[in-house]
Amino acid sequence: MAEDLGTGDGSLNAPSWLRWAWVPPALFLAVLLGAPLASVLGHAFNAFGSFDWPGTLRIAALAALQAAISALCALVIGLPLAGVLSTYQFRGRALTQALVTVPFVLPTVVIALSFRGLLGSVLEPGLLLVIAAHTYINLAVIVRIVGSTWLQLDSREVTAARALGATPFSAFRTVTLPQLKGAILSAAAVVFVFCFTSLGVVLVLGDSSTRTLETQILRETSLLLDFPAAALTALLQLMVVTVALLIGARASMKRTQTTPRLRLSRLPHPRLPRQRLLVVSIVAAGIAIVLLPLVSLTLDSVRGQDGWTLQWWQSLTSLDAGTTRLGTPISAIAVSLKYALISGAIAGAVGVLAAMSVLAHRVGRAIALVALAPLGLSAATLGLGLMLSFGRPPVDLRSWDLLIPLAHSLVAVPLVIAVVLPTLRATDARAATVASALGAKPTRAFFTAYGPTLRIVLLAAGGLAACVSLGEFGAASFLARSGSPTVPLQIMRLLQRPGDASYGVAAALAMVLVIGTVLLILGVDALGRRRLAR
Amino acid sequence: MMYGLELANCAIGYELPFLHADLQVPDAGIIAILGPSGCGKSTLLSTILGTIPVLAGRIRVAGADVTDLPIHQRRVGMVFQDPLLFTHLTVEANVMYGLRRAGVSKEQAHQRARELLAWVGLDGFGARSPLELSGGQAQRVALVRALAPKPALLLLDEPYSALDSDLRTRLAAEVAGLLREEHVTAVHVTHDESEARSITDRVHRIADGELLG
Repeated sequence: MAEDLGTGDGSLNAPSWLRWAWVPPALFLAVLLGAPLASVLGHAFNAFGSFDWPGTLRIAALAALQAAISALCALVIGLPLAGVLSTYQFRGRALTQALVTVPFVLPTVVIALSFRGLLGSVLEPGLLLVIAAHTYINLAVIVRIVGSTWLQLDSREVTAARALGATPFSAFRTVTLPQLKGAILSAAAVVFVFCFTSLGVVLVLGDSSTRTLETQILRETSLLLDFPAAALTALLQLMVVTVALLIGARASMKRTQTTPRLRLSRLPHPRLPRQRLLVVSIVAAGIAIVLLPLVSLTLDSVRGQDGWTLQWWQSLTSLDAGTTRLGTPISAIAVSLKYALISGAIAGAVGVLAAMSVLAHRVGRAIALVALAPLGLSAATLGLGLMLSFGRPPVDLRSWDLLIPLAHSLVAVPLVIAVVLPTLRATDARAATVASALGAKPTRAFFTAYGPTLRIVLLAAGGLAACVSLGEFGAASFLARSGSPTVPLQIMRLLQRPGDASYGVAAALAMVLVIGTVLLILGVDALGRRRLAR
Repeated sequence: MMYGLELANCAIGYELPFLHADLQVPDAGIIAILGPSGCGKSTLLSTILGTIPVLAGRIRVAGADVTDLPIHQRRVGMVFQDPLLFTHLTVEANVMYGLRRAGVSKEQAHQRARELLAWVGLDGFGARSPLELSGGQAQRVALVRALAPKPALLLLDEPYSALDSDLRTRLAAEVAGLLREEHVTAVHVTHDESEARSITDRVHRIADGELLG
């Protein structure tokens, strides 16, 4: 396995340019992360005197309450699913796992729209709808984070507890739960942050009681044009997010220290009738929860007041059906595809270079850590910072249509590194040594070992970044010019207009986004499988 | 006559049976079951414990039919190949675990756990984490943890296989002595004939899908 990239036996044979692989990602982060953050900080200090502290703190408190309830609901629904998926082997387990991930990878605006279609007739916009959508989106976070720890627990410990007289619930409470505590806290902190900084869901499904600091930043920026106040709100939000993430990270570290042992054998099948009933009922409920909103969205895209219709799909290419003055939906699709392509190229290149530099140079490890920062920054903070730094003269990247792809790249780079780094680490570097011994120059030897893997991970990383770009709503809502909205922005604008026509076209447009996202994820997955096959 | 364990015409397996078992173990008797890897020894124990349903036949423990009872109501204790101590609890809390589930008060459970630990030579180890114990010490704790709630039957699934051969033989004989002292019916599964002989003269074998007497 590779420790020193391209060498396998030390750094003597590494190509010299590899030592400087950290420079492009470092420059990218310094300019696109450093400058916006400095700009937000600078503006925030100007707002201290006139800032509406009581109003903003009230919004923060309500948003924290909403996020806490959402995290709790996600735990209540996600934990049984995580338990079943981590405890038993059964037919359809992989498919269930993949399905649970779907809500997390779909654009938030699409999910908000599908919940409006599914529950909009029984629930008024407000707290309940927002919590329902947040719970849905974050199921995957609970299942993935808690499930990965649960999978490592030895199921025989529960059997040992049962043999000592514990009921199933008592065995869970006294043996399983204490060992999952760290993972549960860690997952809950992540969900809390996502819900606390929610923008798209709150705009589509919320009312005045569900405002978040994120929507407040958007309001202060686009409606009140009070940039210093927006910057101070962003700073306040950043502080809450940092505290929540630190609590989660601390819990996660505890989890690593106390995880006792790796699972020794394969997962058992549910043998007892009670176990089978448990698995079937939880999996069926989970699949229904995941699919219902999507089925509702699909139906809404082909249903009008007078029955089934393809009218909304036909309207994608025209200015009819409520889309007048907003541009055709198809032009929004073209804008989104263009941005996805540019973001894929930039984030793929920067992320792969950052991952390579982690293995090649000490500075690279620090750069990769800094590159994770956008994960903790909200879309509004990022969008506001970029707009303050590069969205106005003298440096106006908005007019070159570059600012949104750059923002999307910044958001995607941490994910790209997370996907690429383990792949590069798993590549056998000894091939470079063999090539060197056969007379290859360092660069040739490097590409002999890593070339095939790099080609695949570059494509996969680009696809992943494009997927992030397609669905991103928050930063784009700050940075888009009114004449060229992305698909999520166009959906939002359509929803802000009254009438069935606007809603129907929004549903059709959302379906285009769902199909695009699913195709990209399947493509990335296929590339991953191809790499494994090698 | 009441037996400590009675397997009446039992078909053991998952979807299809691969082992037929007809067995009577006298009350407070200790038997060993010998067989090569993969012959179904552990599946047999799992079936008696209740994690795998028996496909046909009845299982009786201390005269009571437990065939359809859930694990925690069978009064069957088990010591596994690994000690499987709960690492988030102290050694003493591990021993107290079954007593507390049986409704024994905290004070009495403390007292009993201390006595049991002293009985297996681990006096003063109660406050430690299971992670601080050696393999032999951990397996002794697993044994007294299983014995603490006074099970009607104790199953031992190759409990010393992770230990070196000297310690294995010594511990096996020592534990058999302790079980006799406590009058516990026990079924000890192993693939090591000398280990089986050091425990009991009553050795059963599994061959060709049959548990032979």
